[in-house]
Amino acid sequence: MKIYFAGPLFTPYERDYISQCARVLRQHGIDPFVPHESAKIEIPGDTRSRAKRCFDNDFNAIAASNAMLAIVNGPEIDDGTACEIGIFYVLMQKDPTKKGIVALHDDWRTNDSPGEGKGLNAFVLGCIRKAGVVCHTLDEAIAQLEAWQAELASGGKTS
Amino acid sequence: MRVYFAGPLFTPYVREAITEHATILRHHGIEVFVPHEQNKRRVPPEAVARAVARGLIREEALAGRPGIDLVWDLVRNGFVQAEDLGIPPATPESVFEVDYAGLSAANAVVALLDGTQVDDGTACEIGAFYAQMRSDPSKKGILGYVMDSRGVRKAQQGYGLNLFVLGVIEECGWVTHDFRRIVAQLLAWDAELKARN
Repeated sequence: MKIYFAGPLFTPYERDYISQCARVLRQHGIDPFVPHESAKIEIPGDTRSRAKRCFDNDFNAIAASNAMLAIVNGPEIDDGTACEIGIFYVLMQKDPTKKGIVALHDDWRTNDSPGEGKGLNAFVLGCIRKAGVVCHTLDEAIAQLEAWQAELASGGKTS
Repeated sequence: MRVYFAGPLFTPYVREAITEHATILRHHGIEVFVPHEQNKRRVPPEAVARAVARGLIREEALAGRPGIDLVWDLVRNGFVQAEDLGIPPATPESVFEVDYAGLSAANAVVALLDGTQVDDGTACEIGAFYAQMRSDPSKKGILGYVMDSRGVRKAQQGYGLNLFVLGVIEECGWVTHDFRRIVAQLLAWDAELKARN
């Protein structure tokens, strides 16, 4: 099963964490697209803007995925990640091979318990819950992805 | 022509700025869905009577303004708990349902992109609208608006925006710090829609 791995990838440690998680996913037979690992080869004569190249690469990968795993840590959800969640939700409505969105959430600023932080954005959280689940560990997230993978394998012909 | 006005609507001043700009669009005959204006829809009429009974609103104030607006101002500014007046709480599910319906019914999105990053709710709406647009010719595009000086300073470099979000907007629109351009583009799209019907 192909999944799109969304998350904030701007610092070396964020990228390391995503890559580490991606290795575990691959050991479980899940095929994640990791934006920062995808080769952004400079094509001579390519006149596209950086934004256009980023969009082309990542949108095509989202469109080709059966599920999305989104890291929603941070003081708010990374804007690129939130945008990808919105795209996947809409594509899912018309494509039965798209199973859902799993959010991976482990950040005490945005959890439900009282304390520092302002919680997850209601619109994005509502979107995620409508399309899937919020998990707090990678193991939980993998269990959900494996359940969807099994559904795809068994019901692929009829659904 | 219906426009969905997305933006970081968490503080009174941003809500006021969004309302001001929505008013300009309304003067041009454009219908605008403003998410923070939807909240007061949850206020049942009985809540106004309860607020008066508790002395939160003076009877005579009701003559000048709609009671539901007054009640919602009290709730939003933390002077009374919504549940104490019998107003059902907003949940992620209810916010998504109301706003997603507004987005789905819109012909265009105007997105206020101010802040240290694009607000996550706004970014999610941009993505959802773009994906809807791909199979709906009644949807014309997304226009990003920046007032944030940190962004305006970088107008020539994509306003300092997240590359993916910028890429999505540029698939079906553009970003500007000149609201007059946005008004003109919406009116042009409005004319296209009218010509098609």
